Amino acid sequence: RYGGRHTVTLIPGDGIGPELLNHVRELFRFSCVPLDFEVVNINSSITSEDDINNAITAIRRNGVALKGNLETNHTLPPSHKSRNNVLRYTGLDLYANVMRCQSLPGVQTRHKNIDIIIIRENTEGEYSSLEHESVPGVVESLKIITRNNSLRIADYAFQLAREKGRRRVTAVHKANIMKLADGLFLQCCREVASGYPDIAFDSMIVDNTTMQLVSKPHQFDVMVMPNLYGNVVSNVCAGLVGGPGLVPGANYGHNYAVFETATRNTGKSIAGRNIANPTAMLLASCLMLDHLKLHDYASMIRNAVFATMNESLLHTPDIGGQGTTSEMVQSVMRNIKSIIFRMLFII
Amino acid sequence: GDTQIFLLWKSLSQILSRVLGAVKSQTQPRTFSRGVHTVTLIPGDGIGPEISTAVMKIFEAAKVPIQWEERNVTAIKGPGGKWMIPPEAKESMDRSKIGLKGPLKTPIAAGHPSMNLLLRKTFDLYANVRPCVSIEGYKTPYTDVDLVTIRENTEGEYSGIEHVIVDGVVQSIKLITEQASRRIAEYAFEYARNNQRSSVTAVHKANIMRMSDGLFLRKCREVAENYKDVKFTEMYLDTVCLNMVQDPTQFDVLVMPNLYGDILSDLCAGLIGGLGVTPSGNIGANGVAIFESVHGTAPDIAGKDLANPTALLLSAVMMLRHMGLHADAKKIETACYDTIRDKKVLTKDLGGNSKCSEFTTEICRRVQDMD
Repeated sequence: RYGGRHTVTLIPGDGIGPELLNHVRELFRFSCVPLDFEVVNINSSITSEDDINNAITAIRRNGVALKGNLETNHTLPPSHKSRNNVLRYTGLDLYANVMRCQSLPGVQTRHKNIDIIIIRENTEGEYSSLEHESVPGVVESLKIITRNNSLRIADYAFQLAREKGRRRVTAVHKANIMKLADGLFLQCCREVASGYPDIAFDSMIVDNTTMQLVSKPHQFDVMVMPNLYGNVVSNVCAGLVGGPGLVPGANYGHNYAVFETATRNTGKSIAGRNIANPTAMLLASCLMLDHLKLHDYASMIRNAVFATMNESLLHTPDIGGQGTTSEMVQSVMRNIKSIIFRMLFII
Repeated sequence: GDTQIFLLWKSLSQILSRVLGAVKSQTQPRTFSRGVHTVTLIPGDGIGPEISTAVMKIFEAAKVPIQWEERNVTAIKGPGGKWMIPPEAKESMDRSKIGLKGPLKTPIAAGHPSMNLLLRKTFDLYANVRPCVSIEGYKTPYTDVDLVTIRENTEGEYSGIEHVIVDGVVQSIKLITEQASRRIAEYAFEYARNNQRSSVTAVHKANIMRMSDGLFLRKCREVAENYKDVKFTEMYLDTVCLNMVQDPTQFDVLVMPNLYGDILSDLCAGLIGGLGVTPSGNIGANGVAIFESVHGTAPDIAGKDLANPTALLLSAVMMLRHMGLHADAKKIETACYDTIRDKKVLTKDLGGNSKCSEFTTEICRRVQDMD
């Protein structure tokens, strides 16, 4: 923070990232948010390591970033790692991926009133990128689980649950099959749970979890899990509340935080057509504002977005509407104006 | 020089695979048009025996040309100290090639691996197939689901190879081989072709697991080349999950490695109503196929005539189709669906309060009325 204004790193990414982040900038300017964006243009067409390192340095410098998703070309050799992951854990140790899946009353879904917080270990597990071909035609991929990271994420989950007044934490695992790896994760969760007697703790096997989520999602409160299951469960939950266009995501480390859409889609097929749903990215920017302690701005924008979604019912095609991205953003801006007027009236 | 040798090798291997393809008839529907066929029946534990009896009754009412050979599978220690299934069970299955199995209880700390694992290893059950079709009359928030998950069942994340590297650091190995990947891909495309399904989607995470899932994906692509009549697509696991809970009707046949298959097949079962109504089949090498219900043994209701035999019955229907007995399969399936749709005689888990025997009798009645 300098001169009363924050600086945040902005990574447009690929697909719909650039256009959505432009709308965020537009909205912040309109709302006079005391924040400047330092744009770092890395995308899938840039292949140098230097650019990635520059991005990491920029995030370190500012402490906070807002990003679009970077596409991974998986036909390239394995040494070319997923750029999103490199950003996430190599340089910044963003160990906790947090996603709150909350039903929006104005959006038509099969299940209503869902409010689940998913905490996903973000640095190890199946995403360690340790693979080798031991014998031709036989590939081994290593999943690493460590005590330290498991304790750390479990602790994060319970702290967050307590902070948000949640009642129960459920650990998701497959320890009946992966006895050592997921067994260790589960054991760490149990250890941490014993230090939080005010919060109930239980566990569930991942395949049963997905089955329960599509039939009885209301049994879940806060869920904590290793990396891959986190990927699966967060996508299932995002689908339950209305899709990838609605849910914001946050990646937290001890020193840094990066905000993005929860399901990390590039939206290649809808890029540039003004039909992408800006909700997820707008709500992600609100999470960022909260992180920067700019709570009033965060609430104002969030309430304006909710008003557009639930009252004006201006929806983009992904949730069954006919509106364009810009129409939605205009609506949010109108709602911000009326929120400000209402505040002035009260004064 | 080199090119010639390569081309010669390529044409030889093509001839070889075509010959082997003709011999490997395990994926073709076998026409059992004459005579009575033996099926090995493994009733299982808990509610296993009563639901098996229900299935046998219904098959008898439908006059299906099947003769049941009941066998028990409890782990016994063979010569050399290795755990195995009883030799009578193995002999029966090797002879009949077709099995129907109820739920087996998984012993905790019994000193031996799970029976399901033993069966899988004994018969090299490499493909787990679960057709998930919405049941009219058993309402869930999802309608018109009609997809099939085909899961590689021998390797992947379930190799059981784990090590403690140093105190507090554990490594679990996921194994993907060219051979197993090709085999499951071939099964998926053959299944699609034989069951008039229009597309096969490979589910993977090759963006993260570049080499392992990359290998799986490559093999799927290669096999797809030989099945131009079936549409082939690829999709990330997370995208499949995201789309599956919003619109499951967009999916047809899904093929994937072990863990993703485990998760997705249960997810899809949840869409149509759970494990109590979902059929499942396991395809092995050498033409062996074992069909089973995938729910638990339900010890709390065992022996009380309260169990729901639908899952085992639909698995038996799947078995009939595998054997080519399509008319019998259709008859029994229709009777079952009609009973559920009618809602007059339903077991407790389906929302009614009839007994298992009453439910069974009702289906038998409908089957007989159809003749």
